[in-house]
Amino acid sequence: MHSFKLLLKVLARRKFFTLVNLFGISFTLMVLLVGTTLFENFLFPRGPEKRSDLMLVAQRLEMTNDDNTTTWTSDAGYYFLDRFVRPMKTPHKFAIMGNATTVMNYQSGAKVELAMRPADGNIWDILDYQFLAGGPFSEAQNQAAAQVAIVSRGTAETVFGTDQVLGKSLEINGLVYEVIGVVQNVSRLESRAYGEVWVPINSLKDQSFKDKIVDDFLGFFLAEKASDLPLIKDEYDEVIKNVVFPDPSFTVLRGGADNKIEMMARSVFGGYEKETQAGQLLGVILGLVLLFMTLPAINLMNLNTSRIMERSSEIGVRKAFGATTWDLMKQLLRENLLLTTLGGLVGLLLAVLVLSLIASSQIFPYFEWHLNFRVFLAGFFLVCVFGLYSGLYPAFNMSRLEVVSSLKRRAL
Amino acid sequence: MIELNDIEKAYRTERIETIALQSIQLKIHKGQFVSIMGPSGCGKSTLLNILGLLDKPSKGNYLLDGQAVNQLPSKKSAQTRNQKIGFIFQSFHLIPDLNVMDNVEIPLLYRGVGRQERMRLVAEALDRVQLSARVHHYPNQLSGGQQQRVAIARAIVGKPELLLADEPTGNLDSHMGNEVMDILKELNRDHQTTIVMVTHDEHQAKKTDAILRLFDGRLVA
Repeated sequence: MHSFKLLLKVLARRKFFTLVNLFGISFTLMVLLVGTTLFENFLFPRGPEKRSDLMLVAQRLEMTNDDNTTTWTSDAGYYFLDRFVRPMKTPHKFAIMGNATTVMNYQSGAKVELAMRPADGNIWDILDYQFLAGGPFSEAQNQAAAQVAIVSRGTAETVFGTDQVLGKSLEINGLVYEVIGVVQNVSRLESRAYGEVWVPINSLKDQSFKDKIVDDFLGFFLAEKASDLPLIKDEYDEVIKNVVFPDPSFTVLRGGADNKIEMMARSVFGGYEKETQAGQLLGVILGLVLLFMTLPAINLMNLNTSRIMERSSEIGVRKAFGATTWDLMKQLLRENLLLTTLGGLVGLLLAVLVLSLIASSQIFPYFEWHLNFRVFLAGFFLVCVFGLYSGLYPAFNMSRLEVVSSLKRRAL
Repeated sequence: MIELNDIEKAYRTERIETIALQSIQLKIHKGQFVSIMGPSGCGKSTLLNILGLLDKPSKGNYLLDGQAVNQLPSKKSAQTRNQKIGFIFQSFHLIPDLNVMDNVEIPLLYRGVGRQERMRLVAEALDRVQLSARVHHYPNQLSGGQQQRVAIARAIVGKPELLLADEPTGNLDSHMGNEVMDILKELNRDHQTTIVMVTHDEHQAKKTDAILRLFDGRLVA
């Protein structure tokens, strides 16, 4: 109480200075909280990718010919996934889905662009699309090249103006599909599951993809339990090493099966080894966060240092009456943590505001954010780190003040 | 109570050495009220700071209550200050952001005294300096004399055996100065508190049991 009252008084002494600093803290923490929320929603999705902790995806590949003159890097090809990866023993489930391609639809009278994903019938066992009406197409329907489609609620509303669309015809690339299912919209942050229309791979008009090692497809593995994940990686590595190329001039294939953070690390650092630089990526992120905190922290350090000079007489008095160095350091750190917590609370409010704005703008289509306990905990951790980071140096400085000289300063 | 043996204090920089105190031999008994006088810069405040464990002597021994205290580690000397010594400064040194109650309770905070007990002791100390009605006032709402009385209450709230006062009447007019001296005399008489007071005021010094005179860092009487 003593400390809280004193903090408010000290802060009120230089209102403008305090406001500028509080703004700096709030803004920093707001950006960090928004970043954390996006990152958290990316790493722990709540939509179709909710089983990400048991999922691996085979995506990037590098194919090189025997004299090393031609290197081809792309996503996986259907031939490779279907012929060599599908028979793998360690995954509990496996499915193939193509990357999203933009297709046009004119049924509503206007041009509508849709993100279409060609998939096999097993994808629904791995990704938890939430069906609002109807159901998925089966692998048998895929094999039979059935002209059936699953649409997202957003697609149903844009194309047909209603979500009662089961049995309706949907025209895609000159083919007519029957809508047999409607799923909940998928956030763009769940990039591996994202789409607006899903059709059987075999229903595509052009089937020339079927003999390609590298192309535009992803292989989804679902493990029965987390301890199976390394086994899947190992087996996938074996498969890649023993692949038989349809074009015999190519001899080496490289790539790995990745979880979400590994996939991100691979896209940041590149590389086609089995192992990614996920550790480094987390290090870089942490480094950037610290760097981003540094400017407002230095500001706060300055403010604290100048306040300590103003308060040197108080410090002298407290020392004279028995405060130890540690008592005084605790006092300043406590005051600083109170200030940063105050800034953190304002930052939290701002973050909620910004996240609502992000969700309502269409930066990430269908993005739904959740400020859950984990984000809150991360935010609280960031506030504490920030408070200590900006308070330790001034506190250390303060505690070194000699009683006699601090009492001689008359700047109270 | 206080025994100084051959105390010396020197301030050294790269080029010069300034001797602030030398060959100080001093005994002050429990319950004595002693004043220290001397011209400016003669080492009065330095001596008081050493007595109050706010500064360490360069040489010599300091026994407080029979215990050697001149080379105590900082945590121990903070504890000793908190338990045994009270300070009164010429310019009061009240914390302007805290009210009278919060200012006076400071020594008790570092003693881990509970809130109820703190309030009782603060009320008792303020009663002794006749400022009970000003508990919720801030220092800038009080006169100089009242501020010094608050500072006295802060110094005595922990019931220290030794009170060190550095020109306690220096910033006050003679009327207020006399009031403050009366309170100090009363504390000395009624509670056997040992008091060492630095002063420039011969008139106030004559009210104490003994006058020590310092000149160029040496005790001359």
